[in-house]
Amino acid sequence: MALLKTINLIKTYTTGTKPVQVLKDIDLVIAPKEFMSITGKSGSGKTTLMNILGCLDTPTSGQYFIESQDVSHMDPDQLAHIRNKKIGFVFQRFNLLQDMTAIENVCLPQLYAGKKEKDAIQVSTQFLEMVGLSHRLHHFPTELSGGEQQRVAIARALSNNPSIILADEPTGNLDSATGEKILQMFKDLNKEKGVTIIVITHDQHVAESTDRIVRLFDGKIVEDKKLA
Amino acid sequence: MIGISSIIITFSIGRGAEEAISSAVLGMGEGTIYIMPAEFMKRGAFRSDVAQRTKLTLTEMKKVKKNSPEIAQVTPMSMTVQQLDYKQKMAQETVIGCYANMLKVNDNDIAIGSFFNDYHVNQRSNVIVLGAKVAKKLFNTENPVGQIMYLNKQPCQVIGVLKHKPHYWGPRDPNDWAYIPFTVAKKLCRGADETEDEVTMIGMKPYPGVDSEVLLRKIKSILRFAYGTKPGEDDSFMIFDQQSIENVAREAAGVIKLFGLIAAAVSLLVGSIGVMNIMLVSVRERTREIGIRMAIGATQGSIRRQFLIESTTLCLFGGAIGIMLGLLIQILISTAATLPVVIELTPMLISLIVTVLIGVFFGYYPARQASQLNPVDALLERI
Repeated sequence: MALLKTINLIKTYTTGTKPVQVLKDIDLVIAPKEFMSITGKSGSGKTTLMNILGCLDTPTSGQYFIESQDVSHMDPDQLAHIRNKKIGFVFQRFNLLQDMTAIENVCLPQLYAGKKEKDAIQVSTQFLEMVGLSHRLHHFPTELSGGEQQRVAIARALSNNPSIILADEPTGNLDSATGEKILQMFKDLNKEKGVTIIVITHDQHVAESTDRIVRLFDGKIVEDKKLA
Repeated sequence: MIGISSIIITFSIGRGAEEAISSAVLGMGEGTIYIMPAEFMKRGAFRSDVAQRTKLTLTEMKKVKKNSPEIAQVTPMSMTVQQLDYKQKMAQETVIGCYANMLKVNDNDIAIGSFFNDYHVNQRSNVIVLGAKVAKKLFNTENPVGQIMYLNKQPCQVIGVLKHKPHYWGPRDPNDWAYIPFTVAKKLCRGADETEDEVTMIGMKPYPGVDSEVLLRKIKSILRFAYGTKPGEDDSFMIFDQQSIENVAREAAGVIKLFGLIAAAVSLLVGSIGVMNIMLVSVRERTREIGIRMAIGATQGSIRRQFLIESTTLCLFGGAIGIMLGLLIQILISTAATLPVVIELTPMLISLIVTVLIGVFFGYYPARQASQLNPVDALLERI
């Protein structure tokens, strides 16, 4: 059974008077426990696709199922619950809340899920230990290096034990050595915890370190290649 | 914050003023009525052209007394400013010549010694009773009773000192006054053009339970008849009674309070718009934060709640500072104006409720704006 499935997914933006079709008939099936990448040049529609896959945006037409649940016509609050429970985000800009410490950032999705603070702190501590930041629990993002911030972001993405992690250019703001480490961390997560990981990147090298590459061009899937 | 201060100040000063009015008016004597010639005061100031004023005399007083059985006590009052000496100390104070029942008219009490009696009045005895402050001024810690002092350079024996009366307003402190028998006032303090039976004013006290409205109307008609005033002509006398003075003073205090409240309302409105503005700016500046929160699962409701809590906290904080500032200013003003410091809980509670309401009401629009952002646009700060 597919974890994610899109059927005839179309996204149109209207700039001025002219509608621009950014995604054209995307049919994509992603199985559980996959480690894959979506790649393409800038303007190819990969970020739009990621936004829709991450339930941050809704398609203009077509259908999108997560675990057989049609999410293409859900209201904003239902989508918020899906993002909260099933999807973890890792962004190029890390997107940590600046006035919160590492552990508070990791706790937040759990608090939105209605967990008790005490339990959230316990779980968050474990995740931060897992990404090797047990000595940075109470540091603010500004006191952390880029790599450390991205590891906090990964811990936050794992916070509610989601089935999918969407990583948008996760190594884009990091030096290559640190980037390698982050990619290795995704690999391990995928192997050990069975989390589906979708990396959105324009970097060929990053794409090639995953098991499957989906290449977009002009809003269409032009290549879907399994590496492993 | 400023609005809240204004509310506290206005309410408290207003209350303080009311307290002061009550004490001052009660100090005048409960139910007491004073009659004075109409030209005695003009535009609130004492007139200088004495020649033109209508005279109020013992004759009018007797007529009023004779025709008004409701009046329990009546006394003529001859008020002049005189020089008072004791040893090296000297003071210029108001001296009131009156009958032995004066204290029953103005509800005052003797602290030490006694007031003069009818015998002193009839015998024109040179005795004097001092107000609390003038006694302190001339005798300091010495007991004045029994001492000989000088009134207009004539020897007088002090036979009593009055209790201190509350006094807040105006330059005339009743505690500075001294009382002598009416006959002695005519003997020692009579002005050049003053007749033997002329009085500055008449003080009277009705029996308890008398309808003051009816009595005042009656006194008015007796006096108009006595002066031969024709219908349509103005009265040649003025009647002051406790109730009417209190009403006027309360009205004035009410107006002060109202203006204060209008000022407070305006500043609150301005402040509220300020709060809304701050929150709108905050929403705009924190678009990315909102986007991040939405991405990790914040619902519209939780975003809205967050911003409402922030605006309410902001308002409560301002309100608390406002209350403290208000109390401080109030204490300063009250001290400067020698009004009693009245700290009232009601305006503070009202202010706190108002601030919370402002926080919620003026925070709602920005909070709603924040909650309805599209997560993608918010993340990219594309609004």
